[in-house]
Amino acid sequence: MIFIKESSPHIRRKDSAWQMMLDVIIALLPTFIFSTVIFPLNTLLNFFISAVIMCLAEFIFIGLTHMKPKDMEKHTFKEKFEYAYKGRYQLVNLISPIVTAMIYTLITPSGAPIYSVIVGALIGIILGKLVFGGLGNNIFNPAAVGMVAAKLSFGSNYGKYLALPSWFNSVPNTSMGGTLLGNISSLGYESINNVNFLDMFLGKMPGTLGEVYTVTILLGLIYLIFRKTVDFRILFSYFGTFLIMMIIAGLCINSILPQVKVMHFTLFELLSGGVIFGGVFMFTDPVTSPLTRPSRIMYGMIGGCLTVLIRLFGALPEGVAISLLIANMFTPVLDFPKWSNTKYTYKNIIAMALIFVIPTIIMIISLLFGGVVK
Amino acid sequence: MENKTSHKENFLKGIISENPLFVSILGTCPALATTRSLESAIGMGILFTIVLISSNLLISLLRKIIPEEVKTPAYIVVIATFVTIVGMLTNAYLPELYDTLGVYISLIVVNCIVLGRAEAYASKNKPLDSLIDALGMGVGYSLSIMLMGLVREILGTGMITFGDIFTFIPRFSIPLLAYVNSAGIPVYDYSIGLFTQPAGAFIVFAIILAILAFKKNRKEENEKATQLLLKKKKKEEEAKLKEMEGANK
Amino acid sequence: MKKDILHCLKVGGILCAIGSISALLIAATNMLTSNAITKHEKEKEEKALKEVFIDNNGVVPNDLVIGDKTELKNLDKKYQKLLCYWNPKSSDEGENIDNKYGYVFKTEGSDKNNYGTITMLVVINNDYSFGRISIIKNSESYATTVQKDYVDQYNAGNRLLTDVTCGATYGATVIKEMAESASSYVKEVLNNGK
Repeated sequence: MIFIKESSPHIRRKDSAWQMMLDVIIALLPTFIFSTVIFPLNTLLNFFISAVIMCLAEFIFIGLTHMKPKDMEKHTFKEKFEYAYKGRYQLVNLISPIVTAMIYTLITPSGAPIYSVIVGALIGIILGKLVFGGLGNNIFNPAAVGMVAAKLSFGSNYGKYLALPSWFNSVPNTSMGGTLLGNISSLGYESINNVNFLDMFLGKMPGTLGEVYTVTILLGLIYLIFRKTVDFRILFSYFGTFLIMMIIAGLCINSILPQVKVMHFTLFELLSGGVIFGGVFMFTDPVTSPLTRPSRIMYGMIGGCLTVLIRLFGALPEGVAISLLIANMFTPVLDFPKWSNTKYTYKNIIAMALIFVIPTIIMIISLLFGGVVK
Repeated sequence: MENKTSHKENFLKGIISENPLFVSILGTCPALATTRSLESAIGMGILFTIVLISSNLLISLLRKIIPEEVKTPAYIVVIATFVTIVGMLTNAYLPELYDTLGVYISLIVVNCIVLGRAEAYASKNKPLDSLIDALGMGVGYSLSIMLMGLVREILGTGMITFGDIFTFIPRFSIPLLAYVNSAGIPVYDYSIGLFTQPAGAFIVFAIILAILAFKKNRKEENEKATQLLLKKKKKEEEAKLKEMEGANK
Repeated sequence: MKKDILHCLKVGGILCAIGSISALLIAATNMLTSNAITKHEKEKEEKALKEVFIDNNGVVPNDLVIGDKTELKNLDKKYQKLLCYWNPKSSDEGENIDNKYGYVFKTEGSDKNNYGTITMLVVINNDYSFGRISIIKNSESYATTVQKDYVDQYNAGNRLLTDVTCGATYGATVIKEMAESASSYVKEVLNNGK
């Protein structure tokens, strides 16, 4: 037998990896264009700076790891350059940082200062991707790593959300400088009843650059499904787990505070924050999600459970990026060759049921007996 | 025949070739927790060195008296005595240092370096050798955590502040990435706050270990390449000699 | 047999000797330093008490006299977290308005889901509202942002004690509970429900 050694992403398609990334770029274009129309300066500046930084970092990294042939002779600069880059720097090494830069731009808050965007991009690409070995070897999603690192470093300076321009007429801004999710922790759950859902759907609320325009994200999703780039199992398991657990939580909260309506609560949690954007573009990344089919369903379930738990009980209002990073940590465990399987055996189904049922029971008990925290 | 190393080599091995933090990777818990600023790292290093020297000296003096079966509890009692004494003296005369370090003074008792040097070296060697070895290890550890503290403070807060903990020094700060004027208002602030948090400590530690591993790898590769080159040259010379002999005949 | 017993006795004797020498050394150090330690603790407490009364200009009022401490023991379950209180008086002659500065309570407590305790001072004004809060000791490992994002903002003017994402919800809840229980103690016990 002939064994061919390849690294991730392992895909069984007729075209190659860079075509798949081109599909992702095309699917991100509607959201990007819409965001440019509303905040032209911020979006373009952030994207340009982070794309330059990330492409440059990857270029330098490929050169550094293969510097000169291991004999003790002297070479000219041109020989060293050719030895390092010839045959190793391909088109996919140019497109992949651009995809990462696009996703990173769309999850930064709209009013973040330039210095924090630069620091986030550097930490994201170096510590999230290059240190592990470059394309195909990373465990964590580099855009999420960069965003979380910038949020931890700069604190309240980073989370500034600009007001929408007046020609895109918006609801009078009721939030105190944060997103609508931040309102819940200060005003209580009853404030959800005043929110107009059509406005949230079209994106008339403050938030990061790419999360709020749900129409454009759905357009991108239709394109990706048509080209068969995303795996529908991850989408179904993530959104399904999220919706079912939120409905159960809504029922529990309804039994304590009867003013909160269940469907309002569920729809509000679905449309706010980065749930739809994260689920469509970041969870389905083929490098960081597991290989086999049952493992992908388990991965989506883990992500969904963690997002719900962080939203309800955690101290941070927005939980998608952190739950994505934690679910990424489980990918090597789910893919371990000793127990991973492509068929749906009994063990797999029992594991899936446990992953879903245990956090649900914990959530129900905490909500009913612990009381709703404001 | 014993191979006696000189006193100078004994002292230097604790700093460079057998550095307890970066080569043997021992004692990482205080190194990650007390290096938030350069001053607390200096304080921790001084206290650690005092405990290490005194406990190693005492254990080496008593090494013929303590029986084999109970040596570990005996060592721990000796180390704990010195840690308690040092802790009480710090609480009395340098109270800000005691408040900053907190529980990490008491954790010196279970630090692997202290117990490890006691069992591996001090229980088998003469008092003078143990003293020099402990001094070398202590100075090496202090220099390592001072390096980590310096990097974390410059990147994390932007300035190097002196005088917070050692209050006999007047308080002044060297502004590098951030500058706060005397009224307390930051003039410019380019610090990255991630490095004062525990996540940043792990990242700095990993980067320093990576740089040291890179240097070691390159040295090994250069040696291997030199040896291969020498072998190749030897073969060529032998082939030439055989040719010349064949041509002569 | 004899050799074994002798050996054991010898080992035991050496261990006792080591233990007693250590105990003597520690006792000697304790005698040296105990005065300095108690003085230092007292200074810290006084400094924290003075700091709690800083007014809007950042200055401690000149006529503040911290009175004696009144310990609280055997209280109801509701007031379980209160430790002691002071009733500072004003030292100006002729302006002997009682309770110009209210009461200062020192409370310590933790709540479910906490990983440590918070010890703090809270000022209760004459109209049972809260004054400044200052944390003396915070051993909660996850709630280090409580000082910067919650208590400092509260002290700086936003006197509502609402939790706006300080990152440690349970720590903030405990602070609010302790402040409220101190206020209700003043109202019901010290002023007899007036």
